[in-house]
Amino acid sequence: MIKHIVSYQWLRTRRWWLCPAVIAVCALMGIFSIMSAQSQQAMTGMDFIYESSTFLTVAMFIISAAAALAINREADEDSADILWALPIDNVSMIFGKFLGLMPMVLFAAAAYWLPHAVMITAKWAGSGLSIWYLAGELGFAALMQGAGMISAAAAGSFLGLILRGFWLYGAVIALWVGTFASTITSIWPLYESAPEEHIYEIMFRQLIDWILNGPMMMPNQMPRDLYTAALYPGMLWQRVFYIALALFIAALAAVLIRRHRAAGRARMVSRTALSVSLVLVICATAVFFYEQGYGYKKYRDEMTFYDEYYGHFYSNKQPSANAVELPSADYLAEMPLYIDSYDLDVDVTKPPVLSVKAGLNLRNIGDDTIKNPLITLWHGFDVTSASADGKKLTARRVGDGVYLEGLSLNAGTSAHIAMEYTGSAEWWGIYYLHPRLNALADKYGFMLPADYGWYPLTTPLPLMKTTDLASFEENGWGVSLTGVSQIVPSSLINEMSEKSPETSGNVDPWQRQSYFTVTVHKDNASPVVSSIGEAQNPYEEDVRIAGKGHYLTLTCWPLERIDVDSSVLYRPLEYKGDEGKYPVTVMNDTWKWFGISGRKAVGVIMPPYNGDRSMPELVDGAQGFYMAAREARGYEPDFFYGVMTGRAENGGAGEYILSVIYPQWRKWKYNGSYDLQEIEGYIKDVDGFSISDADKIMKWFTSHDDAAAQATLHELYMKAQKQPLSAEDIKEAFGS
Amino acid sequence: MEIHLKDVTKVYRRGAKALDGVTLDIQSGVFGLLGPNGAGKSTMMKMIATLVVPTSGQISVDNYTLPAQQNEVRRMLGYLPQEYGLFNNLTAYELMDYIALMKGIGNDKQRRDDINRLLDWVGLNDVIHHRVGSFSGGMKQRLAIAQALLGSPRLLILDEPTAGLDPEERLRFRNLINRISVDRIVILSTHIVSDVAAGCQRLAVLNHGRIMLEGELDALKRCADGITWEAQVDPGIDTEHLPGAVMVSSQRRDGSLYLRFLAKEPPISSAVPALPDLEDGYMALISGMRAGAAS
Repeated sequence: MIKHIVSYQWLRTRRWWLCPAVIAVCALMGIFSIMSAQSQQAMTGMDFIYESSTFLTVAMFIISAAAALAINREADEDSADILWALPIDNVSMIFGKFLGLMPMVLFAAAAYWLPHAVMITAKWAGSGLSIWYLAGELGFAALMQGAGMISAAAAGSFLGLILRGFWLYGAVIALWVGTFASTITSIWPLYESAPEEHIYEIMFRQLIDWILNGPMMMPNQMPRDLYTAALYPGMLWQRVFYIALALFIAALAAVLIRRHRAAGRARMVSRTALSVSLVLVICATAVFFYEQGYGYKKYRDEMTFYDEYYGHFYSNKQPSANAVELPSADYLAEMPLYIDSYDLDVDVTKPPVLSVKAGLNLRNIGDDTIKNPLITLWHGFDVTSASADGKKLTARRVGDGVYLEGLSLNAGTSAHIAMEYTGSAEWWGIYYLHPRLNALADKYGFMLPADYGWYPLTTPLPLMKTTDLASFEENGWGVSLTGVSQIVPSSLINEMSEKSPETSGNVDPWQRQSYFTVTVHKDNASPVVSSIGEAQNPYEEDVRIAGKGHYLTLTCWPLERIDVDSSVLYRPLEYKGDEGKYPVTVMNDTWKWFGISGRKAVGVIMPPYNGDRSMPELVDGAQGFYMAAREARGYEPDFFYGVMTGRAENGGAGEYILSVIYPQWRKWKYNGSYDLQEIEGYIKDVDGFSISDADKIMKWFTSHDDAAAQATLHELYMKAQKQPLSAEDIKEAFGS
Repeated sequence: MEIHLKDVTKVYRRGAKALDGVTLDIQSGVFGLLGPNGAGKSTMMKMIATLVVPTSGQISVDNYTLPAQQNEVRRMLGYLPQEYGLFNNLTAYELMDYIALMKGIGNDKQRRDDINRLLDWVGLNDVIHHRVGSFSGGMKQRLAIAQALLGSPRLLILDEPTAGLDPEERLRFRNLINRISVDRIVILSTHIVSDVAAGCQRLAVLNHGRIMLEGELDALKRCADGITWEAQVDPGIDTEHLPGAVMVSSQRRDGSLYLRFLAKEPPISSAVPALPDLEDGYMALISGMRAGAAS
């Protein structure tokens, strides 16, 4: 029976002028959507999917209104009595009508999806990514958009069954305005105090986003790439939620609209449909809460851990009375331990578990014997064995530190430490209650940055500062890569800033460099890229890397290598032409103008995890500092601190002024104009430097040739090697 | 087959009482339901057609109780509402096919034969593949009658079926009803007395939600026994205000006015008694001038 109702509902619907009109308008919305994505420089298929959410809201409104009118045309033509006097139960009738509308809904969804599919396929073509990757992106787009359209049609149909005329139009518009308003996330405040104090608000916000925005908007934590498989279950369940919700609405209509009470089998069908859909809705919601709860538990564990040792780090609590507190930053900074070299044997063949065999040559550079030295290693790793020159040691874990008990290092002597440790690459952050941070290891690749603390150090371990919400918001993905300083506990930074190498009489921990030899065991053929040099063949299954640097970053992803002048850029396979080259070019160019030789940048377009693939991470191979540099942010002070000092730490006012002036000079040089007002906006709070000084410097640039400019910039660079630059240094260099 | 209504009352939301304690038994054959507009005829038809649930009272159709067993009743039902629309963007054949499928006529050949036969009966066989939206009012009425007849329903409820039909179509309809009324109940609601006279074996007259009379046709005629008069008068006479009389008809013929009216005592001296017909009986009943009733 129901198939006949479906068949005739569809026959009637497709002969209605509004049906092709709705499909055509949805196709138009799809075209608008891809045009919008193109205008925002969409790079990946996921970028198109992400952008599609905006116009999907309009398409959903259209389909809900059309479904509302189409499902109950009998009410408009006064033929309902004939229909309802037929021997059909309301379950068959209402389900049949719902299903009979589905071809229109699916055609409209397909019309909306098709332009996206074309662009996704175009981005995929020639990328080297597998056909399954393309199928995944197309499938996800279809699921996302289809589920949204189906749920909108179900909601509209329900309204159409119970309302007519003005009330129906009002209800459909209210439905749309309500859901659309919910997508304006700015209505939610950004919490300015510790996130855990707002955990229920945050979870509620997430739930509301998940429910209301889901059919239209990508979840906030939606990655920019399909590679981040960790989020698939949640996303798929969200789509299940919407399809189940549509079924639930239909079943509810069948039960509530009791014009003809279902009996016998029909009653069973309606109750079963209601129950199944309700169970699915509950399951999907439960998955949401499980994910949130699991994420919160993980975060909470982290929070509790750090509060135990630092007390003030995540909250304002005092450290636990029973906590074994880590030695102070002073101690760590001044500890005369030095790691001459590393041998790291890293196994990531069972992601996300990381297993490391570390061999490090530890040297006492002080005047006294060091007993039971402390090294740092992120607490997520279990140290399974430790020895010094073959003698077994006890590794006593204290927070992010490990005491090597049983080791005594006399002044000026060295020991070869062998350690084995294992742990997960996942690290959890509060804001989205998902694995965050820029560390990851999954079946596609891995990203092991220095700030993850995945290998032993004698200096303080950089930690993610999750309470730095301004940084969260600015970067949009939870951790700042613009400088190590922002990811070290503020207390440690402050303490260390006060202990400059001159006053402490010891080697600046930031300047300590070690020789690294790293062997990476992995499963795929993706290249391994490092901050300390290039592998002989980064595409081999077992990759060996050697070099010198402060901190070690490893990246392994499906990338292609291209040369940009003397530097190297690893970028996603689908990038074409000059895509992604700009920051490397800027860096090469800047080195040239400052007369800095011997530097070679290794640019890596970030692995597509929790971020934007168009965000490159530049690694200065010579100095070992690393930084993120979006094209528009390539002139940030940190960039200059890196250029001028070879490391990402706070520079002086001079470096800051130069970071503002230099881009304007480049702008003038390449475009013929500069913006003094922009300079004024940046330097107004800099003591000892005014806009007239800036004006004089710009005039100096425009009246001198390239050789003079290069000489002056080089002079400043040389000066910066000795001490941070002041405003006076800048003014003096340019004679202002 | 029998239909029983016992103390059936229907009160709509705003307190309007459409039916008031109606008790009625309907047997096989053509049953006429007469009454003025607003008498409650359509409400009663919709109740038997399972579309309206009574506020109180009991309705049973062939031992099935409504509304509990409405699905069983609907399986034996053919229904033509008084006011209706049709699925305008379907063709006549598609509409009939849809209804036939809904009525459970699953066999393709049988369904096709039934549709063609019925459309032939109602004279629509030459527009079988035309969209219903292009039909005239009379064609739509005939199509609506045809859809009600699909599946040879044992209970046929026709609410004002002849409205919109021309005399020839009306005659054909009456013949059709007489032909199919064997072994089934046909409830014919109308305010056209001649429709009832043409084929009904029994009838009921409803007014203000109550049964005024239920029985055979003669019972209705008898309501006007002894109070039916005819008179030939001058055309200038004021026939609207004849004291104590209810005008049934007035015809101008050969320069005179021929009146037929109901009255206990004729207000016109030239009036002569006449044999009552159904229309006289209906008027006597509705006007409260029923023979034997207290004046």
